[in-house]
Amino acid sequence: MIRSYTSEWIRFRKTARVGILVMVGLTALMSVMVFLGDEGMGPGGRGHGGPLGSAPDLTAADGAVGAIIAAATVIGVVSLALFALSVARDFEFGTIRNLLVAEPRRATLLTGKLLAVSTYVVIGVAASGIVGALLGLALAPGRDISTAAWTVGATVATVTTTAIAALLYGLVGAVLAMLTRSAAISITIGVAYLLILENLLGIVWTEAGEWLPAGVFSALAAGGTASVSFERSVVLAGAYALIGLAVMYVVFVRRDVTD
Amino acid sequence: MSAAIRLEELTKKFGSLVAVDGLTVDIRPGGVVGLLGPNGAGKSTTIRMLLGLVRATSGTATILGESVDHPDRYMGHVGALVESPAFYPKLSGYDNMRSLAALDGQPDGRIDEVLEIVHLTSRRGDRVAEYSLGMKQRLGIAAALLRDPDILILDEPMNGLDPAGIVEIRGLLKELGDGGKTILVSSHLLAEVQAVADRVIIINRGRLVFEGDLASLLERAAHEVIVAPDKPEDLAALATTFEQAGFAPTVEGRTIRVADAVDDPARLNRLAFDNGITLAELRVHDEDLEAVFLRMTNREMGL
Repeated sequence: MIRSYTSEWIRFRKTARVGILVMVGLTALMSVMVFLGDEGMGPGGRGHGGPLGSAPDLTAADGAVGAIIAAATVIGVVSLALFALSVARDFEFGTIRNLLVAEPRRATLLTGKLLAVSTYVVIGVAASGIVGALLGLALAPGRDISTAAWTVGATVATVTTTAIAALLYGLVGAVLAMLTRSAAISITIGVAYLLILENLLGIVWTEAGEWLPAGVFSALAAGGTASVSFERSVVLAGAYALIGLAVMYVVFVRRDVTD
Repeated sequence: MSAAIRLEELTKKFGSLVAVDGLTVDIRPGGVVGLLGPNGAGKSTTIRMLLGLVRATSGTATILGESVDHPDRYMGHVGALVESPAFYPKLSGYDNMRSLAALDGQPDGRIDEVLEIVHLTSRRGDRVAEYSLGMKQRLGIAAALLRDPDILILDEPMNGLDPAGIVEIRGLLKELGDGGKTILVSSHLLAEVQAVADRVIIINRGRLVFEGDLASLLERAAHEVIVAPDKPEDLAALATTFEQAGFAPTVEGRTIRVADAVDDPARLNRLAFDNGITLAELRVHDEDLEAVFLRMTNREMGL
């Protein structure tokens, strides 16, 4: 397992570096938007998750990382792309053959791979959290946003839930990549579903956001929403994760490698 | 001595396509064995089954006594290059090897050793995207050698190599085979493995066509006498003369081929002379190994 992890860490570091920079860059951009933009984004609670995440309450305990909350979905999409690239490109390049010759225990290989990419995503979200918090601290006084309620604990908790949500988005990318063996197709399907299709489903099924993955993951990242409590989002997201992992492992372990 | 690799009625079907059809082969430990067959013969599928990449539809196969259903039990002793060499193009050759060495638990020092063996040390820092096909092939062979395997399975390892590279790799395979390792080398060209293989396995359309040493294969070579009259208009008369003498001549262009006169070609000369025909050519032709291979595989293909 450790060998598989280390191996993926070496292989994926260049791609992951780009992904981490994108996450941090997006968070920095979002910090400027939420702290300096015309939209007040002051007190008023959390809204439903949308394409750009929830509208943050900048005076809340985790207000320092309001940008992370706002950017949660986009960070999730970056994570989805990273996982999809990690899984699919080995089929696209044919390197999966080399990997399975070196490590024939497929479940071990996949576990190490997923853990390595997960580490990169967590690093990306953590770095985004640090940059977001520093920018929040710097920008809040200029807009007279009260920081009295800000706490380190709440900030860390929000970054943690954002990281978990990002990993769930990533899992969607990994499952799709395992099924399609194409990074481009899996990312397209994943993004189209999570950002567009599920919102369209919400038109015909008003409770879609309470049950389907994008809504649940966004609610988890936001620490719960008005329609999906944090506890409910944890249970549903956990169920989706287990199903996704089961599908991915069964497919990978059983399928012939003809790529 | 038990077989290093044993296949028993090994079969693989992809839908209605039978890629490997009841293949039964024993490969003894040590030496170089050539797995030959035209493109699409089932060589790569056979190799993939041996490496646990593809599951057999029926039949069994073992490597070092372990079933291919459990590749984790024997792959620690096997190095392989499967089809075209595959690497991450944006990583350097060295980083690609580092990734594989990490997965295999090999120290970085081993990477330097195998890169030296395939003469890639000077280009180790270059991105694989900048490598020629021959260099990628060398890197693939280096990757297969990383764990210093007892069994080395190489699928078309000479592809893309220049003549000097082919000679080098042949020398390397010979050396490894002589050193006691079991080397299985696939190719669609007999000439590529003829110089190094102790034994050959020829398959076509997934079926075994021949298994044995090169001397046995040569025994299957056709021998014939080729005769050409000085005057082309004498061709038909000469063929008739040979037929009347009990031979089975075949007219081909401006020559006559007589398969059953190899032991006494002078008799053909006498027959021609007695009938007032002057010969421009009379020679015994022995089919070479490549021709035997092509004839065997073409016949299997119904060509």
